[in-house]
Order: sequence, then C-alpha cells, then structure tokens
Amino acid sequence: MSRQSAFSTFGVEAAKMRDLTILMTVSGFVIFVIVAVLFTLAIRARRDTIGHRGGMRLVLWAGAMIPTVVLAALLIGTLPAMRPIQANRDALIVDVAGEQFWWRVGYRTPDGGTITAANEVRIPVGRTVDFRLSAGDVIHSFWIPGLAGKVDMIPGRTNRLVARATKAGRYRGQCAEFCGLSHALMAFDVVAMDPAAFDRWLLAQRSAAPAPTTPIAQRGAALFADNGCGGCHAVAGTVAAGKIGPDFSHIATRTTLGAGIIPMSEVNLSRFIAHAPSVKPGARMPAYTHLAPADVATIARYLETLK
Amino acid sequence: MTIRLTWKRVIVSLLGLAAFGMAFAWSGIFNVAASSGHWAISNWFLHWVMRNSVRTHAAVSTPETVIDRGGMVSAAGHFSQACASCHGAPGVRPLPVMQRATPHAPDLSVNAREWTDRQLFWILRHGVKFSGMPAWGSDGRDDEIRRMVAFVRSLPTMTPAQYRALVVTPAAPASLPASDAVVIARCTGCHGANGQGRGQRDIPILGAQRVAALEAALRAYRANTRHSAVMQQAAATLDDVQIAMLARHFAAMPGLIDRPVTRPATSLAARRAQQIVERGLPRVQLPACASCHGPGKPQPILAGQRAAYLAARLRNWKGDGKEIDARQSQAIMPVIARRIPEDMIEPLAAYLAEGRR
Repeated sequence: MSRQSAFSTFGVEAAKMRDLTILMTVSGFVIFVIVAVLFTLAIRARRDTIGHRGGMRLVLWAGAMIPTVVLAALLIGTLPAMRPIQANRDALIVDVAGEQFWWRVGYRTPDGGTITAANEVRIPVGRTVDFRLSAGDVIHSFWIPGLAGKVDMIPGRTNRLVARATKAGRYRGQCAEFCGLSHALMAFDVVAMDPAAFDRWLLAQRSAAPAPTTPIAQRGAALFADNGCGGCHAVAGTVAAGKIGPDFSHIATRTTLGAGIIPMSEVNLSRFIAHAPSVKPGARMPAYTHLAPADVATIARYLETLK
Repeated sequence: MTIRLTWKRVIVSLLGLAAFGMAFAWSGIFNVAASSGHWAISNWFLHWVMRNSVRTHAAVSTPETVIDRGGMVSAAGHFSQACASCHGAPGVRPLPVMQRATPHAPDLSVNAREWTDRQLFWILRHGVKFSGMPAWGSDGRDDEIRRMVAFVRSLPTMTPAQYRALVVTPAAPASLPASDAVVIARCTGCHGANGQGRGQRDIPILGAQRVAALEAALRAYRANTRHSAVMQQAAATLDDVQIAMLARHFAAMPGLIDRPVTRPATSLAARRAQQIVERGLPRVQLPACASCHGPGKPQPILAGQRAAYLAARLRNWKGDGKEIDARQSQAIMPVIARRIPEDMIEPLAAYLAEGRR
C-alpha cells in the first residue's frame, strides 16, 4: 500500500474523492463508447435508414434528453461530496504552519494550551480533526493525499480543513505549492492512531523529555547549549526555548528528519547539523562546519535521547 | 622601381615578420636580466601604458568612497610588515635586494603625489602586472584598502618620528621569554601592549577575550579562511605554539567582560538592541545574540568590544544586503548578519560596546 496516494485512502474525504474520481472516469468512458458506436453506425448507415422524423426524434432523445438526465443524476449524486465535514465540538484542533521548508505543528488541548511539535502530524482514528492552516513566510499547500484534498497555506490568514481518519497507519503528506529551493524536500509523516493510543501519546508529549543520563548525551546537551542551538530550537524542560526552527522536545520519536526527507539516525542528524544548507538548499539554518565532527556527533547523540 | 602592393604580398610579409619575431623570442637573444634595467624608450612605453590603464580603470571600477582617514595604525602596521621592504618608509630604507628589481618599487613619499585617491585605491586593490606590485591580500576588504589609501596619501609629509609612533608601541614586559617577546611585538604595534587596540576604530579589543576564540581567529587567518589582508599577513608565519602563546598572552589582559550587558537601555534604539541581544527578532528569524555569545559559552565575547569594530564586522558579513540567496555564504555569522535590519546595526554595536562600563 502506498503511503502517499490519493487512491489508497485512510480518510473520509479522500475516500469520497476517490469514489467520485472512479465514478466519473468509468461513466465518462461508458458514455464515450456509446457515442463512438452511434457515430460509427451513423456513418455506415445507408441514406434514409431512419427517415427525417426518426432522425429528429433521435436528436431529441439521445442529444438532449438523455445527457440532461445523466448529467443531472451525476450532479445530484455527487453534490454531497462537496459538503465539508462539520467540525463538532470535540474535534481535535491542530495548527499547522508552513515554513521554508518544514511544518510547525501545534495540538490544542482542552485546557487551552498548545503542545508544539514539528514535521509530523498525528491524528486519532475516528475523531474529527480541525486543521488550522497558516504560513510563516511564503505560500505553501498542505496535502495529505490519503486523507483529504489540498488546502493552501497563506501568510496572514488561517485556512481550515476538517478531516477524519478511518484507518490507523503511517502515511505521508507533502507541500503542494512551489515555495522555494527545497519545495520538493518539504514533506511530513502522518500517523493515524487508535484514539486511546493517541491520547497516551499526547499526554507523553506534554511532559519534557527525560534529562540525558549517559555521559555522552550530557556532553551533547552542554554542546547544544554552548553553541546556541536553543536560540532557534526549543527543548521543553531546558533553557532552549527558540521558536524560529522546529521544536526538538521529542524529536527522537519521529521517524524521519528534515521534514520527511531522510530517516532519523545519528549519521543523518550529524549531516543535517553540520551541512543543513546542502542537505536542504535554501533552508534557513546556517552551516555548522566550524564545529568539530566529533562535537556534531555528540550533539546528535543527545538529540537521539529526546523521546 | 616600384613594388606593387597585393593582398598576397601583404599577408606573406606579415607572416614573415611574425615568424621572425617568434624566431627571435625562441633564440633567447632577448635579455630578461633585471641587472641591465630597461632601455629609456621601453621604460617610457611601459609606464605610459600603465598610467593610461590605471587612469581608465580607476575611473570606471572603484567604489564611491576610496579613502578613510578614520585611523591609520592598522594600515601603517601592514605597510611596515608587507610594503616597506620594497617601498621603504619614512626613516626606513627599502631592502637593498628589492631595489635591484626591474622595475624597483617607487619611493612613495615622492610618487604618491602623482596619483589621485581613486587611482591609489585601484592600484592597491588590483596590483600592477609585470611590475611586481601585488594585488590586495584579501578580497572583500575594501575598508582596509581605504585606510591604506589614507596612509599612502600622507606618506609625502610624514616624518620618521610620526611613522614610528604609528607602528611601534612600548615593548612588552621584560618578564617574557625573549622569543615570545619578538612575536608579541609584531602584534602590539597595532593591538597595543595592553591589547586595547590603541583606541583605533577598526582594531578590536583583545584583552580578556576567550583563549579559544583568539586561537580560532589566528588559525582562520593563517588558513586564509577569514579575510583580512592585514591579519592574514601577520598570521601567515605563526606556528601552533606561537598562536597558543599569543592567545593566552592577550586573553590574560583586562578588557572585555564575560557577563551580560546590564546597563538599562535608555533610548528606543537601545531598547530594540537589547531585545535583539536577549530575545532576537523571531519575526525575521533572527535568534538572540546571547544564545551563542553568552557568559561561559565558547563563542567570542562581545560585551565591551569596540562599537565601530562590531558594526564594521556585521556589515562585512551582511555583504550586499540580499538576504535570501543560496549562493551567498551559509556560514553562521553571514546568515545571521543578513537578518539584522540595517538600521539596527549601529544601535546593536553601541549597546554591546556599552558593557565596558
């Protein structure tokens, strides 16, 4: 099963759109075949086969009445698909903002708080999710093909997308509006979870990651602080509170790095820390080539403990 | 007798001349010896070509400002280390061996009068082919060239005493080993025996800077990864032991302060600068200065540094002001400096410099 396809759906809206697409394509094909057959018969038929009166009747029925009925039936039958899902009162509100070239994600909690994450969207199966979509710099577009249609993210305004997942699993979304050099490298993971598991996960996100225990991770935490990583990145429970780049509080629970482009691993973390502008051209993070490779790897080891 | 001029004859003659020229060059009869000097006519012709070229190029490819009289100490120091061996200086004869070159470098106390500021800038920036005059030691440092223009401009009227006052400072304390004292003396001409930069706008305060930061700077200059003709020249021959010794020597002096600026900001500009230092400008994705340059962190100490130096350094990183351009340097400080609003550079530098008191 494809993780990013409008045909392998895991959401109500995407399923409706898939059904609509199949219905329209099949119906269109059937009508095309009928028209082609009639066309062939008309060319091959001898003169005066059906006469003037019969001909006029055929034009009336096959040319006006049947298309009107068929189109009206298709219209009435498919109009409901345009009706958006209504966000009910217990809908989960998820704020997603497009940034060059990553996703700022916030889960609103019933007590009015927000749990900040990045580059991964987790949603509970069966519960309505109300996405509030905005952009920090340029126009992006939020698209989870298996869940729902794409919605533009426009700086200065908030667009809404209401969706409901029907099947648990790991999926993928992608920026669908050209937004700069690394537009094609701006994806994200989508995890649809059993509601109970989702609640547990959200609860875990509210607490800070455990303080590093191994000497190397502690040294990585010190290097992280000394080199000013916290100026842009936040790690809950530490002095790092930057909001310019992605939140790292639970970065190690994500399976990919750099907005869905490379697997999460110590090697890839090191590569990103030292060479972000070449891993992700146009990214706002500077190169840290002035750090010793061993120090970079140590910071990566620390980040791997942020579960 | 008349010779009829035909295309064929013209072409054959020209080819013959070219072949003769090549044969002459190949034979080695032409004498390239510097000892024999130039003929008067070749001397005139070469200088005529050079003057015309400098005049034309200086007129079309020099920046608006070509002279900076704001401080000549660093220019004088660079001149004494890089230029005086060929050109001499007030009270200093050029090295005899350099005077045996053809052409030998002119005496600038006479020759400088013949050029405009713009032409001096162009010559210093680009050097002169076939004359032995090198181009400026580093790209992107027009500010250094402007100060050198001011220095060269003042050479005709400079007395030996004035020149010595620019390039020499009182010797380092006698408690140092003699070998270290020699190396340190090469720095103190500009940086001062106390590491305070002799009050010059363009020379940073080294006193109380972190040892690691000073070492990293010297290593970067030596490796030509940090750009300054003056400092690259000064650091080129240092070895690791000398670099470590110099860093410790200057870091041990009083000067910068390794604690946050605590002075309350009085003006609006100072308050905005304080905000950038402490919290950054998230709106333009500018992180706080203090997230890297804070007490106990390995990055260079900024509090108490000279404001003019900080501002010039930020402007140099900022470059032409285009912020988002993947072809520009993606190293950390150029990226950060490009996000600092232009009108905040001076207040920011002034606010950080305040930390001194």
